[in-house]
Amino acid sequence: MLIRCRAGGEILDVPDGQDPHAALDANGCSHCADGHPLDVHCGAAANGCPREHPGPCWNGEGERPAGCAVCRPLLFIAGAGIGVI
Amino acid sequence: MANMADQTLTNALLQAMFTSSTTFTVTPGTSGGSAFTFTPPYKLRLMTAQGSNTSNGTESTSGNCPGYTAGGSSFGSSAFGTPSGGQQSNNNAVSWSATGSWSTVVAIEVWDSAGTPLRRLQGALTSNITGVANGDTVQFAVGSITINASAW
Repeated sequence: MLIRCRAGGEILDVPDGQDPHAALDANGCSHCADGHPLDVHCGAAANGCPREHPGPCWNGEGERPAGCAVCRPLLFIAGAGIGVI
Repeated sequence: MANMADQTLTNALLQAMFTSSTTFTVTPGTSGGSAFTFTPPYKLRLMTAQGSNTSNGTESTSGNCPGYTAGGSSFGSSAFGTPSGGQQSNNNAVSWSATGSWSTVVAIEVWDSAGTPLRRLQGALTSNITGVANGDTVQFAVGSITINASAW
């Protein structure tokens, strides 16, 4: 499954069975070609999380908190081959 | 009989069916069967269980895939591009914004916009869509869906 952090970054291929959100590392955008540090846009966005956990939610959080719409939202990139019925 | 149709004919049929942006009806001659109509724009539907070429899959719902609406989303005008080699791909991106956690999506179907919509295409995803959470976007980019009729 192909995903990309919506805050920026290149596309990652996540193996089946792996939580796509956990596939991003602590930086969240370490794969981003821009090379900006954690607190530029990812951390700033995460600090607005209503769950009020410290720092970006990927710090010390095994999984993205339920209901979090602020931290590391992903873009799922889907594709398919289909046949005429 | 494999590869039975001349590919020029295959391309022409595909283009008529899935590139046309207006409704048209095919009226066969004597003994050629009943007339049938193609009604764009086509809509992309997401499936939590794949169907077959004779039975519909199980469509995602706004309940198990919040942010998705049953009936799917439009491919826009001229859904698929000019065919080549018996294949064509989607001209426009289709995407949804999730408002909650999604069930796994395994397949897609393409339906027309008739009063009673008709299913025209079905197939499996290259990779299942799993783990979608609130705030995520599920996107089929331009060119990511391929119709393959090269074996006609």
